[in-house]
This record gives sequence, C-alpha cells and structure tokens, in this order.
Amino acid sequence: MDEREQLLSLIISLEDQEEIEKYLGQFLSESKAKAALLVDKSGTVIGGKGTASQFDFVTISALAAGAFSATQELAKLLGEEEFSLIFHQGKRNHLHISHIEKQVLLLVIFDDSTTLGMVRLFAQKACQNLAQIIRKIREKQKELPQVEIQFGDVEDFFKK
Amino acid sequence: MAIVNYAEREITCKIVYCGPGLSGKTVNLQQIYKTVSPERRGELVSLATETERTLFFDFLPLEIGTVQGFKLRFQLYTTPGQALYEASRKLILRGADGLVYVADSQKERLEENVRIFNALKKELSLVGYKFEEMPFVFQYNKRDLPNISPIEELNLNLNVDGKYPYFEAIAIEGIGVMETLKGIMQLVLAKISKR
Repeated sequence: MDEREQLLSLIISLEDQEEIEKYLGQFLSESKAKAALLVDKSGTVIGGKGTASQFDFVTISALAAGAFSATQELAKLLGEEEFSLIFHQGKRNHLHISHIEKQVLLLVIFDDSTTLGMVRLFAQKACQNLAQIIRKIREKQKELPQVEIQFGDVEDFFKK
Repeated sequence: MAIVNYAEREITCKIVYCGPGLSGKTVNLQQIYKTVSPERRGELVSLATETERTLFFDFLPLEIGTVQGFKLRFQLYTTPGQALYEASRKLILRGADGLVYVADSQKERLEENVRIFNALKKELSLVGYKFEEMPFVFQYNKRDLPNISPIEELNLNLNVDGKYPYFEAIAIEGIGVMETLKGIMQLVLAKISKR
C-alpha cells in the first residue's frame, strides 16, 4: 500500500455524496437494517443514512473505527492478513462493521427485523459499489477547488 | 486526514494529544469539555481502566464555527501514555492532522518526556507520517508543582531547534488549555488552506 495515500485529505463533492447515499439507501431497503454509515478509518463519518437518528453517529464512528483497527492488529498477531468484518450482538440492536477498502469502513446498525445473514449478504454487495465510489473520489480530488480558511474566521470560538 | 465534504459543507480534522503517562492529556480534554458551550461540542468519551488510566483513547468532537459556508469540526483524541499501549497509540495516530505533546514539567519526569517524544516520532513514521510535516505544539503542563524544570530546560531537551510553539499550562485548573488548543488549530488550518 502506498502509505502517502492515507495522508491525503478526502474531498467529497455533492455528486459523490448523492451516489454514496443512493447505495446506502439501496442497501438499507434490501437488508432492512436501521442505519448504514460510511466511516473513514481515522473515525470520521463520510456519509450516512437510516432511521436510527437517536444514536450519536459521530461518537459511534470514532469508537467503531478504533475497535476495527484494534481487531486488525489482533488479526496480524494471529497471522491473518485481516479480519474483514466485526459483529457486535446486543439484545435489541446489533452492529456490523465491514471493510470496504483500505481506508473506509461500512457500519451497519440493525435490529431483529432482519438477520445477520441478510446484512452480511447485502453489505458485501454494497461494499463493492462503495469501494468504486471511493476510488473515483480519490482519483478526481486533486481537481476540486481549495478552501481558504483564515484563523481569524474561527476566533470567536475562543471568546468566553 | 482532513475530510472536506462539499455536499454537507463540512470540514473535519483530527487532533491527537500525546505524551507520557499521567502528564494530563485526558485532563486537557475534560477542561475543554467544561469550557466549550454544549451546542459546540459533543460528549466526551473515555475508554479508561478502573483506575482512570486511559486504556484506548478519549474522544471529544467540537464544532468550531462556519467558515465560508463550511462547518468546521475538530475531533480531539488522546493516546494512552503508558508504554504498554504502543499498539493502540499507533491506531489513534492514524489520520491525525495535528499533534499536541503534553509534557509533565516535573524534574523527575524529564527523561520520560524525552523518551516518549522520541518514541512518538518513531510511531508516526511507522504509520507513514513525516514528523516534520505534521502541525505540532508542546504543552508544558503542571507548572504549579514545586519541583519543575525551567522552561528553558524543557525546550533544550524537547524543542531542540525551538521551531515548535509551546504553551505553559496548569491543565487541572484549565490554565493554558484553550491557548494550546488554539495554537494547534491555527497550525492545522494554515496547513489545510495551503494544501
């Protein structure tokens, strides 16, 4: 893997976002899961869709990315290249994390209105489609306009 | 790795607080959590052991404001300081846009500060970063304790070329905490704008 690649920022255009949401929406209607999130491995949400709005997606993503990374280290210690998915089972809600490509994860929250099998099956398909979008985003991101931010613009955050 | 989302009009950056065990990284996040108004921050999550030592990381999301129509978000993480948790530290460093090194000013901790600082540079290179390119500031914490090294001595040992900004702090009282955060944010934003 080209290590430099993970240092580049990910820039998501309106069009990319629509495409991501289309596939996440398609995945939700096929799998009957409650929510699907596209998360960068550093813990940041790239896109999300679903009905489970009572959850704190920002924190869930940070913790899930941490859990996934820890699991990858466990895999290495066991001589595996990777564990490509993690499943956390609860009483009502369950969490399924799968690896889309080197930098991005798919988080799925679901309950007993569907099954792990359904989620796994459709997550696999969704991951293939989403991986294509991520690759496309990487290829074209250098052409997008830059954002100029001056620190003065955010200074009022520090005013008491 | 900053994420710029043109659809949601959001920019998200990651800042990691590192430093030796018990230097006050978690306290920094707790003070920021207390200082910032609730609508501009999320919940502080701590993955700690029973004795309140950070096991994996602490996490605090902040919403700084809107710049040119973009919502600017910062996510703050701490790394576990103890040597034991090197593997976890590497995971958290991944994707960082800026680093704060919280040093313990006490004389007897000087050696440990230097050792962990050198280890950090190594850990960074292992996850594919060049330390020289990373926005970076020092925080010399615990300035209220009796047996502390003078700032010159800390700079001489840690900030050898004097090229990184440093901030004196008594994090437990909130002194120097927001100044440090402001310092690292300035560097990160300058870097993003230049990109």
